[in-house]
Amino acid sequence: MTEMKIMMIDRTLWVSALKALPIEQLLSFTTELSKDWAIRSKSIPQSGLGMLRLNDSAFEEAFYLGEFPLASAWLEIETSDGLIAEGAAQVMDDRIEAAEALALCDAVLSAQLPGWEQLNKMLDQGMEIRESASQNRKHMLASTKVDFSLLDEVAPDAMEGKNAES
Amino acid sequence: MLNLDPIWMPDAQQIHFRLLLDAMARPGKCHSLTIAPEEGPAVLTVLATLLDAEVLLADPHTLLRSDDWHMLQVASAVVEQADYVICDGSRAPNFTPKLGTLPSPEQSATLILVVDELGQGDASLRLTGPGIADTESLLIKGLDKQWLEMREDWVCSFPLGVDLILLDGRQITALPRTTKVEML
Amino acid sequence: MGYVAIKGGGEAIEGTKTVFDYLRTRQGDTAKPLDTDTIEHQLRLLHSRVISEGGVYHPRLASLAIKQAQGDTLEAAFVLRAYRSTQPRLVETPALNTENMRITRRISAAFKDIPGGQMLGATTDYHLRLMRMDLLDESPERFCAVAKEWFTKKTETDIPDSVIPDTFPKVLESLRNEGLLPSVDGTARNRDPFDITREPLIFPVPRSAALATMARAEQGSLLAIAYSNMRGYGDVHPTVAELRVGYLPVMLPHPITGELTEIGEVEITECEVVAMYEEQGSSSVAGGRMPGATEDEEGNDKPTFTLGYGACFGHNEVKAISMAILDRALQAGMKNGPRNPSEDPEFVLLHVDGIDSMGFCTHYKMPHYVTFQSDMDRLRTTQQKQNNKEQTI
Repeated sequence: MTEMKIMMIDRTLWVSALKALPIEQLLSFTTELSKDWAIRSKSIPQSGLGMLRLNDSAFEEAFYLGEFPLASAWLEIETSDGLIAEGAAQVMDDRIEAAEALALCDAVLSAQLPGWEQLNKMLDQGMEIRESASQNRKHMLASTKVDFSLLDEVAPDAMEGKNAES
Repeated sequence: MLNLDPIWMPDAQQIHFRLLLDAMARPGKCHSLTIAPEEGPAVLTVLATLLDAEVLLADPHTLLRSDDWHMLQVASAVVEQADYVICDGSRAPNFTPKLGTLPSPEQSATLILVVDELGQGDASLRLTGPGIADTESLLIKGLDKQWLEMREDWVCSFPLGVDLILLDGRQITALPRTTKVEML
Repeated sequence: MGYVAIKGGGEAIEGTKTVFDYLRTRQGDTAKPLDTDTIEHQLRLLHSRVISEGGVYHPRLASLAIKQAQGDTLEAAFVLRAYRSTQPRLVETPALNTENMRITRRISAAFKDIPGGQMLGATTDYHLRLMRMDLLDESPERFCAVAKEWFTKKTETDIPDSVIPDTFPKVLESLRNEGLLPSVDGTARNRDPFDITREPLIFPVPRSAALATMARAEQGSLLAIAYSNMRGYGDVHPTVAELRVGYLPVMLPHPITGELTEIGEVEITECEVVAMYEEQGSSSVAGGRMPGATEDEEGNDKPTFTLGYGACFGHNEVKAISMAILDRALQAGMKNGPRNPSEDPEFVLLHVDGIDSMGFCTHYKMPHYVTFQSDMDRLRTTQQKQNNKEQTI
């Protein structure tokens, strides 16, 4: 089991895993963790919109589906022990604090700064929440899956034309 | 949890935007920048106010540091295609900026020239045109004369043209495309 | 003509705010204010409609807009659009693919056995439209019991990927592999799409402008024009190859590593329709290629199905199908000239936006005292002239 603890999910999933947790939990964790650290912005933390570019699946032509809220932050951190790390995050949210907290987590996890092990546990919690949401959707699908072949078994061939729409 | 240089904060940017509006409305009048960047070139104050991710900036004389680009979050472009160009005024121009098109004259460049000093210097200009009651005079130190000669060409077919913002370390002034400039 | 300048009405306008707000609360002492989560979940489809017409995927603010507009979808979408216009554009995603959607519903009217199977999800399509009187007087306990029942009925074991995978292939792919669809123009993928939030529609516009306009169009307008095409002002019966509803992961490159990172997900509805290919002969008339004709290796036109595509934020099936039908119609109109209103890009795209059309309609309520005065003057003069003529006869 100790080996399991060292395993960490891929960096590309950190934002979505941590985003699954209640924002208050994340904010109180990062605020407490970073209270004695020096933090500098590499780029202006800001909130605004992102534009979603989608490939239409008929002709594979790209078009703009619409916008979504986006907050972004890119930080440079110096811990009280003099460790330096960089972290950045973009998240579908309109709160700059959320992006700053996630950027801080990005730095802590990537450089394994103090607190990363606890944060790693939070990543696992987040992944569990995601997985259970995914399972819930799958149950909705499974319970509404159409079993056409069953109709075929009842009346093979003869029914062919009748199951389909007129 | 963060300490940001005030030039990146909305309050300061609103003050500077007002200042830029006044400068454009009253060509040749010098306005003092109220808030200077804690580190980095003074031109950052103007850039921070004007730019976002939707415009293109060219920096042919490398006046910005790579950290500045991060903060500005602006895309870079070659000087002929940029919406904003910052230049060292003491070096002669060797490019033609975007002048706009007749249906869209607003798609032209704004040039931001960094000079040694505004209000005194060897270049003496007499300005007339919209926003100037009679005439306005402007002294500049550290501006290559070719800028003004090239500008004559760039602004000759109104509404096409470029707008110039000049600044030294402390002050800004503007020469919009409508201003007539005479070199004395 | 003298100018009838008016002023005043300031207090009356202030008063309307109070009255409008008051009407919300008339239910009496037992009333509770609507909370935005309730709107998002219990008025799920109304919420979907507003989020797609508002053009910005912000579930919390879409709920607020509905609450603030007291349920008027046009007004709510307007509020949401106004909000988005105050926000800076920070980034643009790379082109995302709907193959990665986390499906909640997926059907095909073209094939019964689609790879991955058909799953109806949450729909009223097969329900009897009988009043559910039990909802009329629903106790909080019974309301909560619905969710409890779902979670207990749901088996404890997880559903393996072999039964319900994370993502599903597109139905169109199998048709494409059989050579029944027009070939894909590989360059279109990299072309920069038209941004309707930044540029006005000046015709002719590329297809990407049409898709973006319809994606945030008003559902009723889109349906009305699509219906004209379905009913007869168009000549085909399209088949829904696939209709899918689900959540699309939104990906952006990580600012430091550049690796694509999931930053959230958006619920979308997507629909592809296929329709019978059209006669070859007519294609040469306009000189261009007909939709539904694809060149094979020898350069000959090969008959194929024609295709239409629709997609929008939220769960809006009628909208996605209408959009797909109109996309197909507009492609025909763009290539060979419109034969009916639904094939005319100018007619369709300039009339489907809810904020545009309701704005124009609403503006008629504004004082037009000057213009109307002039109308009356003209009418009186004409009447006078006619009177004078009659008297002289």
